[in-house]
Amino acid sequence: MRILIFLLLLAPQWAFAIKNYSLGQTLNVLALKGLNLRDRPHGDKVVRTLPYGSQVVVAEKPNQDYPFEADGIKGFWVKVRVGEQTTGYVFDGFLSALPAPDASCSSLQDYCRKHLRAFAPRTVKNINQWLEFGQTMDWVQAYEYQNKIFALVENNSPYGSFYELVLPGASLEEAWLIARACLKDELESAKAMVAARTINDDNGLAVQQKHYDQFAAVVFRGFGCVALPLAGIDRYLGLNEADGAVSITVSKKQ
Amino acid sequence: MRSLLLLPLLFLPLLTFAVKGYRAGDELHVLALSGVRLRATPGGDKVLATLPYGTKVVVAEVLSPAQPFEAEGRRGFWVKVKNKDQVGYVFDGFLSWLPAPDKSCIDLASYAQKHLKPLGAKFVGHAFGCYNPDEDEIAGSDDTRFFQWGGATIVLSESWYYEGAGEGLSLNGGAGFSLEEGWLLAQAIFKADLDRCVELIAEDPDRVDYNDRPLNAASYQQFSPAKDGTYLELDMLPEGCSDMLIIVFDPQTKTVYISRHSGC
Repeated sequence: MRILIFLLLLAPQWAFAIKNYSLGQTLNVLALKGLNLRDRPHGDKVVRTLPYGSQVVVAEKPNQDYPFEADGIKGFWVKVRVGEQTTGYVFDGFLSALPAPDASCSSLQDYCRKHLRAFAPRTVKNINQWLEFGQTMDWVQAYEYQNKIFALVENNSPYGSFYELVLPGASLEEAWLIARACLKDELESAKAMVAARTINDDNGLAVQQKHYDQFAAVVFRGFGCVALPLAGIDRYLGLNEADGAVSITVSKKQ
Repeated sequence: MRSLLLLPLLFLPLLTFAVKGYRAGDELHVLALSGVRLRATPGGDKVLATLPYGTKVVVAEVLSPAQPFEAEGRRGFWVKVKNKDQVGYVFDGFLSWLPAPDKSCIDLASYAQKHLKPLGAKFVGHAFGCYNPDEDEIAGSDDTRFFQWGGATIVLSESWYYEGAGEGLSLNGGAGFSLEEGWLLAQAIFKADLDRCVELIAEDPDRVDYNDRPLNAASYQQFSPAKDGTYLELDMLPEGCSDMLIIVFDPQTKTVYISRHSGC
């Protein structure tokens, strides 16, 4: 019933930064190598490099005066405060209201368990009736974070399995940054695999190494998605957006 | 030793029965569209009243020993209930923990929104799949919302994909649900559609379902699950498109999943 079609395609021109932040809001730095705090938008002088996982407070009304792009992510410069004293400008494309996965994060389950609050029992989301195999189920666990409900869906069927984390109100780029940080080791080994030999995606196109470092989404009818092979047999990372939410999927085809 | 042997015998058949796990004092709802008869004795001839669809009754006593009964292909028990000042016995096969859908409920989403309690803040949608440019299609989206009713957690999924759309309602937790309850609920929510199917099948009597079973008016009016009793699948008779009502029961979790999908 549910068919997952994964494809890697080059459309790096399209991107949005973090969506909907406001003056006074606390945001997390999701850039793995840290984020430079500069004296002014596009400024040469680096006041400080803010480490991955640190927090900033938005110090001006968000605006689109100074557009910028890095690693395939488009966004804007924004004035932020760090601690009590320091202010400066950062590129907002590496910021998120979502928690930064900690260094030991290795799976979507792990991320949810450590950073979100579980509520309500883990529940059957739907029952799939297969002609050949009988019944399989999708399970869902609801999580809460800052008054938003997140869902972690698990599926196992004779055709494969997946974990899927649904992030309401997030952008595809934020999902990418979280997936990058949480699945860092796995993405690095997949990149090494792609460097060593040609890996073709479902449509027979060679997967490019740079897509493990850069955000590159396909956009179609207003919806964006990213699909990347992971190391291992038929494991995929998928990012998808629709209906005001994005999902991060780690799937395995049988 | 004796109790060990008895336990499986007592509990196994319950899995396929109607409304489960209620106790004295619990409130149940009449989900039979034509109502249920309140009788003076269990299975007796004397009818005290007909309790209409949607009536709330309070369980006065769970009979011991249990008095099983079967009607319209569904199995259940007689139960002593109270409705306002009247006390009598009804067959529990047409009762449910779940509130009866009112007339404005035309699909699973409107039922959940109208009658169940939303759990947590407003939930989320999400997409699944990446598009395939050769096929010119996007895989689709599958939104999830959580609701509560009594001790049960109810998950509503609304989805669309490149060739259709659908919705599903998963009934979990509490004392568990039965396929019969799923069918009662679906009958009430999709009443207009099911009535239309009864009319259409009269004009097209040779029609068979996906399992090559002949379809007739009774298919749309009676509880007729597939052989193993865990699912019920109904072709909703669209013209040139597929349109299915599927109700599935998982014995292990006592979950019932109702889904309606159509696509062209």
